[in-house]
Amino acid sequence: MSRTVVGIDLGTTNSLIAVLRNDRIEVIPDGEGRSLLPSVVALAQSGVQVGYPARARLNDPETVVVYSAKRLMGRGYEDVTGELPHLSYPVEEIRGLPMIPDRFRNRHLSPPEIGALVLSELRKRAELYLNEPVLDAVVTVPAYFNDAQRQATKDAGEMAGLNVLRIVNEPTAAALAYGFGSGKDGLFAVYDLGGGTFDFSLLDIRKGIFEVRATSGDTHLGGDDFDAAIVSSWLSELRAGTGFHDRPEVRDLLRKEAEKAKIALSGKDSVTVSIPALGFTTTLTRKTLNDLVEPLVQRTLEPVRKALDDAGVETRDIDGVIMVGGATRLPRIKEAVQDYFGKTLYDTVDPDLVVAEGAAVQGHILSGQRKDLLLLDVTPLSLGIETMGGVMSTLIPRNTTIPTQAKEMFTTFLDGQTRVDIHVLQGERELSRDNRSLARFSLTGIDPMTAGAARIEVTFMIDANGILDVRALDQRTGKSQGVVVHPSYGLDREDVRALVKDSYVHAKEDFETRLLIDARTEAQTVLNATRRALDRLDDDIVPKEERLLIQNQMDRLEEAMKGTDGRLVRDETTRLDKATQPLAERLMNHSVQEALGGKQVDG
Amino acid sequence: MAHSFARVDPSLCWNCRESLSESDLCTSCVKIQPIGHETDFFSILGLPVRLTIDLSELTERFHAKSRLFHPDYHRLEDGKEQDISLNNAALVNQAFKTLRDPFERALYYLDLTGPHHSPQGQKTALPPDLLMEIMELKESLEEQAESEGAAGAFQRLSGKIREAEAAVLEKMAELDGIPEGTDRALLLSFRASLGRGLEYRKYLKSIERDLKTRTTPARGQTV
Repeated sequence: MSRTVVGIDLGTTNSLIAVLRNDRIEVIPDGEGRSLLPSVVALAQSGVQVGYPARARLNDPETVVVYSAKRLMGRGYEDVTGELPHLSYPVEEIRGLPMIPDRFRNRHLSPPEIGALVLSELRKRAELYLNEPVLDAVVTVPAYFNDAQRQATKDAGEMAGLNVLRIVNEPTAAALAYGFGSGKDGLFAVYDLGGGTFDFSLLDIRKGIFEVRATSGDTHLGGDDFDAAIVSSWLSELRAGTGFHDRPEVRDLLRKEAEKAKIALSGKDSVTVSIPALGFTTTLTRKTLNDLVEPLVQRTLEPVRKALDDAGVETRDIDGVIMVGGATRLPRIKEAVQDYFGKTLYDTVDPDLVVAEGAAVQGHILSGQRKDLLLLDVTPLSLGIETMGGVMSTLIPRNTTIPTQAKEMFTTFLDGQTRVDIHVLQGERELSRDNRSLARFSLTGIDPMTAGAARIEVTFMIDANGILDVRALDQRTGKSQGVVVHPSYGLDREDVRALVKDSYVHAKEDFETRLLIDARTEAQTVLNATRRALDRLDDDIVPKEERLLIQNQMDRLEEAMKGTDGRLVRDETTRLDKATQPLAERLMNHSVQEALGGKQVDG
Repeated sequence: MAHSFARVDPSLCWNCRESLSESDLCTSCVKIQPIGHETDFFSILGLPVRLTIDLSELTERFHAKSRLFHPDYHRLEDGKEQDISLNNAALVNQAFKTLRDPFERALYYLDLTGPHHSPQGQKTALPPDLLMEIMELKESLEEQAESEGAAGAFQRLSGKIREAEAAVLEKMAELDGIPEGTDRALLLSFRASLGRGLEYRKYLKSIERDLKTRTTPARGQTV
């Protein structure tokens, strides 16, 4: 039997989980039927909350509410200082990494740990829905994510007890959801406008092969900015009146109404907004909304032009535009994209769900159930090493199809030298310092010998997820050489391993606990019903031997319920069901015969 | 001259120890087999060692091998097989990338089939007069870019590059057409001529790169 591999869209604002089974893609809802899970974690005295309840506490001064942690994923503290003004929670620098202090539990959480909390929540949701443990997943990332960011995402998955089989680019996932790759070939644009980020990619799809040709975007542009534009227009209306005080709660109230009005205007031309608490009533027309958001719409077209330029293509070379992200529901956005490209818009799949759906398709491929599609991703950035004088020497150029590898020979330059340090970089610039430092490796335990005599072949392997692995081989002895990795950003392998070990244990415990609770509830129901029936019925309907048999099985079940093995409880319940089945059938016949006014039923 | 490079080591399956009738896949236990380190890029994709290649055939071979080896299709198998899959897929990707580009392919071919297999490959020196011509071209292009803008200079250079590339492609076809058993000296002169053509193109491309870095941030160059 094949395993279930779920697809996860771990978003900046919202996250989702989906699965493909029986030829259908299902986005898995929570207990209340909601598909989205806000990527928000609340840290409070009373405990840690994830999702909607966490988001609801945004204005609670007693709670630290962590959101947009994806913006910090796999990056160094220095690198994210520009993000910090957008975040209302504290971020501290620890060993060069951005960490979120959890003062209630006297610890610091890394961005991947925040991601892991969100992923765990999604996993639980899927396990309840599928009624089986969920262990394997495909997780999506923006196409521009570098090695460290991909690795951090993978770490988050593993800390959530998930075996991340594949990291997939979000635009590629969106195209998969639309069924590209089997038949429809061409050059497609993916226009992804989410709550807080805008990503644009060009995707070349030929014979089931997906290649990201160019990506660009604006990391601070999204639907939230549209709401803010509406709010600021209302604020100026309010200020024109008397006795108005601009307080955060007021802005919050206005923002919620603005979001509602914006969504309503996707379906109609005009909406009346009334906020009795503020004595505020106004009408918002689609025309006004369009005027308000126009500067933002134009801002999205700048990265679009840049990506087309980078790839050396023009709008007429594009075969269609795939619309992703909730904000693309806005009619003005569709209109602007349509006007700019003059091509077919693919917008029939819910733009909030499309990436998760595509991830589920890829999950299905990985579960071994499908062989017609193949995602051949490319490296988004060139990989190289620092050479003399701080210059980067490229080993694997960007846009190389992965997996791929490069071999490089290293030697010593001092007599008796026993270790060689290698600095690995990612980026397109000439000088090391202008590129992103990925990791420093040390080749250790080299036998002391004359300078230049050592011959160590180092293989830089980038796997299908875009994640780097380094192996070293001593050419003289043919033995593998020790490699010590110090990632420049992100967690140390040892840290991750420790955290992963913890979560695996808990993940299994969590599932077993739920299974036990469910099984006990079910068992109690069956026991109660059986007991009632036996009390009610006399010996000519239930002969002594049969009654004894059922009694025995009831005892066995009650014994199992005292233990903690949920599976045993479930099995004993099934046995009790079997034992009472002949009786149940007879009772059924009995009541049917009685109803027909017939004779007594035998035995 | 279609060389037939015999497969190195037609050994046994790593898994079931059956002898292999096919090198990619064991027919008895259906496990993929590791590609040997000595296997050349042409053989990896199941193509004859030739300078001219039908691109659609190359792509087809690449797809077929990717479908056989890509790690996505071996995700649920054991560690050893995942390792083989990763290494093979990386080699297949490298082979495709090298052979897809005719100029990279030609360099690789010369290196692979060269008489002295030196680690650095063969250095082909250009005659001094040609080097002089290249230097002069570079200077005149830089002057042109300075005085009348980059677009014209790029256009002139692209023309040169196109000519050089056409000449290389012609030499590649010629070399493929030389029948087996031809005089060794003649064969070597053809090879040297191809090597020089490639070297000349490389110089032009590096001028192009220099010109580009000098003239950025100019957008939308038509190169």
